[in-house]
Amino acid sequence: MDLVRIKHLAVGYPGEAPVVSGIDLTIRERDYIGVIGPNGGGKTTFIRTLVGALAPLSGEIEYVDGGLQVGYLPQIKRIDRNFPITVIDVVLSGLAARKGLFGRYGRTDRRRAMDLLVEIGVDKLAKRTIGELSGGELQRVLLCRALISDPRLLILDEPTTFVDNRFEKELYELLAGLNERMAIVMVSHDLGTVSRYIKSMVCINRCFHYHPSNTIRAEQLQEYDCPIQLISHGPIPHTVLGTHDGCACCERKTFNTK
Amino acid sequence: MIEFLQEIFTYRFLGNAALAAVLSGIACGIVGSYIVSRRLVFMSGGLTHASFGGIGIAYYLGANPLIGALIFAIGAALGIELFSRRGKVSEDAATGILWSVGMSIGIIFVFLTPGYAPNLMSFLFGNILLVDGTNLLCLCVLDATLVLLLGGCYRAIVYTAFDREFAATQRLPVKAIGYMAMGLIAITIVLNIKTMGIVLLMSLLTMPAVIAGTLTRDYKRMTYWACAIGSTATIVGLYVSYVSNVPAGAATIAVLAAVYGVIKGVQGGVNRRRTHSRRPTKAVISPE
Repeated sequence: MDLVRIKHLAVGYPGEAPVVSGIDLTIRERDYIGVIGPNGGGKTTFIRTLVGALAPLSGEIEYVDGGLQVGYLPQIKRIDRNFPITVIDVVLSGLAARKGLFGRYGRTDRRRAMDLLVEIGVDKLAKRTIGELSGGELQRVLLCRALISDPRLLILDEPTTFVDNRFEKELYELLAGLNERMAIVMVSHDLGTVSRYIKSMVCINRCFHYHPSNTIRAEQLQEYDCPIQLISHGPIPHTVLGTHDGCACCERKTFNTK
Repeated sequence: MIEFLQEIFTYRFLGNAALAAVLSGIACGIVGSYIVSRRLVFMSGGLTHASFGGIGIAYYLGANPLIGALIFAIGAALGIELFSRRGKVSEDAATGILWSVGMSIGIIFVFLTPGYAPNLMSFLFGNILLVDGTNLLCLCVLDATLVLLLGGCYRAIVYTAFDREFAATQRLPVKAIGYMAMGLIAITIVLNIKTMGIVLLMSLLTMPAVIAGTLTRDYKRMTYWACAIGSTATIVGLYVSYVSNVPAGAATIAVLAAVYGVIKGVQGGVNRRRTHSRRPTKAVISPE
């Protein structure tokens, strides 16, 4: 079943030229889409539009199920770590869509938040303020916040920055499990690690390419004008996607790779 | 001390002043916790000083200076919110401009006003003894509004302040909350100019919240503490003023500064003692 249909979308900031345009994408149930591309290419702008924090410049995003519940994990550097708020309250804020403006957060909500913190392994931090956490701990707390509403679509923007290797692996295993019941869209720099888990990928570098497989070759990245480094080459099957007609990026001759 | 309390109930102006002191402390505690947490202190300073432009123009036109200040402060607040969202001018540059332009407009119009020049000192440093019934009523309504809003939408307001983008994805009305918060900051500032004055108001907004922040790192408790500290300090300031004849506003800030110094000193002492007492334990554990 389709969850989100994106048609002819252009994203960016009001009053400026679009950062990325020509976005067509359908997110279906149990999709696992990796979003790759260089810094400044517009990945985060696309994600912010997708979650509703930024209005589309043109085109449309249709949430098929009306009030589709979306879980969102933003880039950790956007968080003000001096703000006086405790971990449990941060996690509970993931319920704000359901609670609305005047919502009360009761004992069941608290228990739900604690269960999640236990599951992710940070329950000892519940009473701490976020300023006392390490980057990895905060990342886990933000993941709990994204999951507490039991979303059907989980959107993560670079969830593995500031995270140790052990948690990174745990996180990918956890996401693979979650993918059984929710679609996932994940921005990542670490293409090598990610490609083992994702089912399809999107390249964003001012333009937008959907790639319906989890493996990609350096030549393809060049075709997509997506100058990122491939970190690992393994015994994974490669598929080649030819240049397609009517695509501004494929017709572009200059490749500013690396 | 007892004499002071007796006179509060005897003399109307002193009773008004005491009531205004408590109401100001509560309003500044609630709003102060918000601006300190959201790092809006400099911007609030800009609003405070910009409102002086409105006071000057109102004097020139013979209108109520409070209304002039209110128009200027709210205009400046909404302007900053609008411009900084657009991202064309940085928020602190916009604030810096509003700050000084407001002051200069105010001074120009005060000097242009024919006849008796109003007492600038009472606007700059406040005079809590001149608070009248209307001021008290306004402060009462402000305090009630702040308490009801924060009580009713506590989590929506705090979550929007903490992570506006995430709050937007949760379909909270972040724009409306943002404008409302800026509007209430402006109104709080203007209604407290009479008690604290333009120059000293910033301290009553920030110091109780900063002191509260050293005692707790939970937003709700911080607000409670800031209100308690703010209103206690204003009352003590009034008492110091009553005894020694120095202006109440300045005395209040001095009290707050002293409290902050003592708390920091005690915390520093406790930390030092902890590290000292740890040393012998370590020596016992490690035999070499």
